[in-house]
Amino acid sequence: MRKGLYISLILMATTTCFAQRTNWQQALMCYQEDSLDCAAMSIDLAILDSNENKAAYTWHIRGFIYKAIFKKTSAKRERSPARSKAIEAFAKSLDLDEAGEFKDNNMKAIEMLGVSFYNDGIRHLNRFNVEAANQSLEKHNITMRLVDPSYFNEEREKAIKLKSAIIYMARYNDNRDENQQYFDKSVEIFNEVLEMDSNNFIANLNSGVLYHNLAVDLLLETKPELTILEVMQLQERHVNNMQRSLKYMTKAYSINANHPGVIRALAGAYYSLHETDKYEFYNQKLLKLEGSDGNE
Amino acid sequence: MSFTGLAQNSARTAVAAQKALFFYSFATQVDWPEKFKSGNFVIGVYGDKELYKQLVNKLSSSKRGDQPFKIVEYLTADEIKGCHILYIDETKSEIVSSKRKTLKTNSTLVITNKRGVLVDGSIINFVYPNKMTMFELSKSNATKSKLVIGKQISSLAVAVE
Repeated sequence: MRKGLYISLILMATTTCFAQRTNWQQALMCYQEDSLDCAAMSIDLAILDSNENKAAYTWHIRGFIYKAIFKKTSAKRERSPARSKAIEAFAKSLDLDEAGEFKDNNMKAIEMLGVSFYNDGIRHLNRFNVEAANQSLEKHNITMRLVDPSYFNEEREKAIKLKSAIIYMARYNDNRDENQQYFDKSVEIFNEVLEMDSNNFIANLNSGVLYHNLAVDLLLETKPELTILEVMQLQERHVNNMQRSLKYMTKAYSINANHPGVIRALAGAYYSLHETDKYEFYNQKLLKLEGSDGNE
Repeated sequence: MSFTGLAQNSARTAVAAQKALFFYSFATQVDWPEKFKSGNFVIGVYGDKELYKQLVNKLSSSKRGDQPFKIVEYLTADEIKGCHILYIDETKSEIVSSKRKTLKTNSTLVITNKRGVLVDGSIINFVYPNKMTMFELSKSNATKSKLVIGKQISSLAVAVE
């Protein structure tokens, strides 16, 4: 016998009025007997009925039935349409429930389903599914905002976005010539993280690395048949990218002044910009930290 | 730690690449006397291994007209022989004056990387205003070496003597 559907008033109705059982009552009985297919069929009929579909509890029950179906679906669970049907039903119930009779339980159920999208997002954080991770985060936000329109969870946003940006960065590094779009994507997402948290060390560090490597690649991978004017223009782009890198790396340094990667990047950037005093400062610091030359 | 690392190529390599990119223009926009217009076009590097590597990387499969580029690294001053272009690092700049006569006789385009070295006989000297690699030029030293400097080189030099 299924437990947890805590609507005693409705239960009473199902047991006393079985002679003229409505669709939602039939659905509830099936649900209690763990016959979810039967419950779904009956509740789908209920919402086609012009009387039953005006009742908040019809939608409330539908929400629980589809939530149960969603939970029971194991393989490819997130592709199951049951979750979106459940969310839609709980939201509809919230709308119709003027007395607020089912409000708390509707809201808890929506939140639980909303969190399941976030968990999907975390599971998708790998090189092959990162787009799905961000889609799941979006669905999470849309669902949670059914309960609280101002919902915004910075920790959850950062958890998915930071890792996504790093995955896009890795894709870019796989083939920098052909995967330029992943450079743009990772920069965009790191910036979103920095808008939330300007002191985020990882976002600052990796943004700095992206621009640093771009600046270096420009010089290393350009064919030599250039006019002097074109060489000058190329250098301007190199300088611009190195200065962008410096902006992020300087911030990263203000957060962690003893990170060898940050100090190495700063030394390298100032070396390539011919700012000798600053290069010497960071190079000496790096030498003290790990006994190596900043440019070796 | 979520840190994917800097390019393996260091900033020192990047600076060498900045310089190396100028060499193709220097080679193609300077005119040498007729007797130096056959065989390999030799670029010698003394004192800068990174620049040597970058020049090999960028130019060793290219040509100046019919002349294939040949990049040579000199480890000692005694090894320096006739070459079309000779780059001398700032740590070795004393040979600019000590080898001046030989370099002039061989119509060698001497390129250096140290302030004030044009007076010793260098023809092109790298300088670094505004965070960029640029160059100054001694037309008089070029003329003494029977080299004709192209207009673009002259016009884009930050200083011309």
